[in-house]
Amino acid sequence: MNTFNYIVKFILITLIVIGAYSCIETIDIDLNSSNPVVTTEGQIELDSVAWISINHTTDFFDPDIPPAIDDAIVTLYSSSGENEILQNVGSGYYLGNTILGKIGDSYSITIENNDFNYTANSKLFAPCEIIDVKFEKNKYQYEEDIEEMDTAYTTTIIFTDDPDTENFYLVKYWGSEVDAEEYEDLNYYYTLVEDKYYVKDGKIELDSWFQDFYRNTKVKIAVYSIDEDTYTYHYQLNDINSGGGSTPYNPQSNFGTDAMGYFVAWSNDTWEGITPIGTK
Amino acid sequence: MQKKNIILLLTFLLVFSLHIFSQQKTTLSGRILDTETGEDLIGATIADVINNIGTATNTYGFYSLSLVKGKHTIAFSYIGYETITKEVDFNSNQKLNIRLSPSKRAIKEVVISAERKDKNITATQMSVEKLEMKQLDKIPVLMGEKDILKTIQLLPGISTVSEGGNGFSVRGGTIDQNLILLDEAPVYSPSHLLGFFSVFNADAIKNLSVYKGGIPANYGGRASSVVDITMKDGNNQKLSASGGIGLLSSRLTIEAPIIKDKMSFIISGRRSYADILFKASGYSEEDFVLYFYDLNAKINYKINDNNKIFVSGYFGKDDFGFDDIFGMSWGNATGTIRWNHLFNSRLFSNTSVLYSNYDYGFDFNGEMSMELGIEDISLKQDYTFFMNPQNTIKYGFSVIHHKFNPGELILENVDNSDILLEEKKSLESGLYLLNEHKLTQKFSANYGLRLSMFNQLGRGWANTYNNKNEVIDSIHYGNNEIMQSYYGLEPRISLNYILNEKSSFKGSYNLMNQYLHLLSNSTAGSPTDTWIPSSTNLKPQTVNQFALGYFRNFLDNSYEFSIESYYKDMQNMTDYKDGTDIMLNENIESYILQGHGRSYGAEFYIKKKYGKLTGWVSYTLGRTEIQIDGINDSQWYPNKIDKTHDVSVVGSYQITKRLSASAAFIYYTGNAVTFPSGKYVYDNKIIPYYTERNGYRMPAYHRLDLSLHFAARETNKFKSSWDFSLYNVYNRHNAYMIYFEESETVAGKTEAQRLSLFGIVPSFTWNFKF
Repeated sequence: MNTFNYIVKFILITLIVIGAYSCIETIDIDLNSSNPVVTTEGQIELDSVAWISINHTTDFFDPDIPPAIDDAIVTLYSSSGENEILQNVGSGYYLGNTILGKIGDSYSITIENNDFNYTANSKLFAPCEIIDVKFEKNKYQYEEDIEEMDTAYTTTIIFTDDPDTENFYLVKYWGSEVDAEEYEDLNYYYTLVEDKYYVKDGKIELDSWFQDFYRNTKVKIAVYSIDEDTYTYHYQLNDINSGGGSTPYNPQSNFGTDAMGYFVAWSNDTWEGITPIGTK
Repeated sequence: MQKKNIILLLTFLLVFSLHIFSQQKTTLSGRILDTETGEDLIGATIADVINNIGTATNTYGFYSLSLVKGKHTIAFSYIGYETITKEVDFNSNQKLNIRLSPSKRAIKEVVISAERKDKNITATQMSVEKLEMKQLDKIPVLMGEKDILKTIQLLPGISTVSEGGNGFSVRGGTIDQNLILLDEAPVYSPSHLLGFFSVFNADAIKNLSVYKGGIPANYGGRASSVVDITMKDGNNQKLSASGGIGLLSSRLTIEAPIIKDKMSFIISGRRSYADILFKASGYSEEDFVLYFYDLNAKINYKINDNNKIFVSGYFGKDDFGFDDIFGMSWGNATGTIRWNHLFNSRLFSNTSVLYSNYDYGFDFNGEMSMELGIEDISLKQDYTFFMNPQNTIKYGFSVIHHKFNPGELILENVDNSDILLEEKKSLESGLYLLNEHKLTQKFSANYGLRLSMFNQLGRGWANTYNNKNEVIDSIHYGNNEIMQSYYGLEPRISLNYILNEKSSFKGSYNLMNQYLHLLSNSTAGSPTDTWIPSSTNLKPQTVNQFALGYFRNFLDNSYEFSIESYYKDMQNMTDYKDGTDIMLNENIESYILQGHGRSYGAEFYIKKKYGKLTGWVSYTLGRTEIQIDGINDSQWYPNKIDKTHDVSVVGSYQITKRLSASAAFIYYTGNAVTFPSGKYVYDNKIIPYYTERNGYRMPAYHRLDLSLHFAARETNKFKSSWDFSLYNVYNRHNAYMIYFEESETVAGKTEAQRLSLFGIVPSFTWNFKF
């Protein structure tokens, strides 16, 4: 559904911009200072240790790096009965050592110091398997665009899906020149999948209508298995990044309403390849 | 308790007025018509000049005046027309149809009302504005498109909610609280081109009245205002045509008698041609579609003096598409069949069968499509009993069958992905009785009661939700089975005390129930806004409004001054939980929060009606707030449409007989908006942090528009004129939207971006009539 909202917004904004003598300018605007609140970003992946970054919010126009919180005690608990205290390694970053992400385990992470005490929960589901990735020339690309830029390809990702359970997925894309060492992160928006909209036959074919790649591009795709709350949180992030489908709001953190950010337990399957060389 | 007392008072007044109806009198009745076109004149006055009693024609041009037997001098008048005075000797009831001719001396002027000069002092009704179509020529407008909805937004108490938008707020009400009627049929989405132009073609419109308060009991269904628009009937004297060619669109209207004096028609159409210009300019080689069109048609047939039938309709559509890849369209259709019947010289009846439809559709390359909309079929019966010169009693009923399509999304190539929201149905009924009562020469009252009823009908599921928006219980109802009912008794009263011939003091109270709700995430409204009915989870909105006003005229009624204050208490106002996705959300009712609202303010208005220089200054000082559990810690917060100051200055100067210049200046406080007060980083993205809803203000809005109206030399058969206008003369970049993004030049810096829609926009239109 999210993608549909984007289409509608895109069309509306395009119509407004093209059809009406519009202009966009950078302006100065006064925004209030807010009391800093705790922000988090953390995860535990399959067979990996957990990490979490804890900071404070800053004023909206403040160009400084967000102030880190290095005096928290961070404790990770697993439904298997394990627990450990994550070690602070500076800059608000805390790293686990012993607990590795395990399929089917639920994880609870507590962050606390003299000022706060927050807990988040997330469950780690089994990864899907990417069966195949197909590229197809973007049929909506105009010839003149091809002449000016390059041939674009859309992707179809085919991955496994357990038909007996309700599953949620988050798909990430990266791309780069073939000989580049690092990928460019292309995930301004997250592609989110709820399997109830697909026939439950053990696999999902996902067409990426809004993520295309130029010819002869190195591509990396990861499909993350996530729980429903994680799906909702990232859906809300998309909503906010796209300008908001409703009145702007803070996405629902699993640390509660007083802290921002999210701690996620997830697994993924990753595919890497190169788009067809094709012709320019 | 308060409501009960008001109802008791109204009942007493009604019984009292029936009691005093004891003298048998003769009745003078008939219609007042325009000589040239045969059109009924609405609001024309009929006065016994000796005895100082009178009445006015109703919406259908009919009047009835009870007089004691004997000789009377009766004056028939209408602003801009020659007054006719007749000596009549009454021994029995008489019918008298009068044709008035446009005044040769008529000064070309901006006039906001065509009624009697001191109507604002003498009329009991307050908080109402009547728009004369002639004045539209003199008001500068965007792209030269005459726009009745834009024009009323220059009046006090009626605020623009967004630049270019046709959604408007009346005394702090939301855009869905305005009942917009075209020949009695509701129009659910009154905008073309995403809100920049209204769907009403001014060439086809005869009359428009806006009720902001003291709303008479014959209207119901919306909480804040009524905009009652009447289409022209069609010239029943001769064939005539008029039209115009503008930058954005062209229009043509043809009207003619089919049987002279008995049957006539009017047909009026408009089409925009941005798409044609795009292609012609070579800007785009693709198949680019961007246009709107609309068609108004009406035919009327006078069967005899006691029976007249009208059939009218509107059909309009917006189409937007690009090279067969995507397309979307939306539009309204309305239909009205009316039968005016005169039982006798004092009892007038109007029976209407109405149809209204709004639909929106979207298609993406045949792979994804969406539809939503609303359809009404209704029956309305109104009676007017002209009991005596002191009392005019109106009563009637209406029944509306609503059918809602909250949305369906079909993805052709993705199995299981279709979203088909359940169609909803409801029945909305109203029963009313009101009296326009002249208690003394100085004191008059309009009072009435409306009983409104609403039934949500099956088939469908009535769900109960927990606070996580999950369904915890469901009851299924069969087809047309009543799922939920609401009733409301709505007292209405307006009082007028005439202090002297130049001033009066007025007060009013009305209670309005609104059973339909608009799902919208934009302030100004958009084509995808969806109407839904009240239900077990969604209660009707109720507004109690009190208003007081002082009215004063100067210099032989050349200047009108008024100050009105109002207070609205609003129940079950709606807002959304954080992150609500309003489109295609099958559990949307669980995401809607309802609470208390209040709106109060003062309106100052001074108008110069006659002379070379005409115009008005309007200033509204207002506030509208809501308090809803679950939003902003349950504290009062400004509604999105809240504007503290709203100023309009409109002037028109007749330079020569054929040339006039006009100007309009608009200023208003920016509406309430939600901006971030902090930020943080997640997944390498900057995420805004919000502390409160609607806690900031958009920058103040102001602009100046100018126009020139030049009438070419006219012949006996042909008239033409040119309108040149400049919108936003000093090219102010008013903020349509403010958003935030990372600076492209300074890493880590966030910047505010202002999107301005219209800089200076010149336009011209050529108008003709023959």
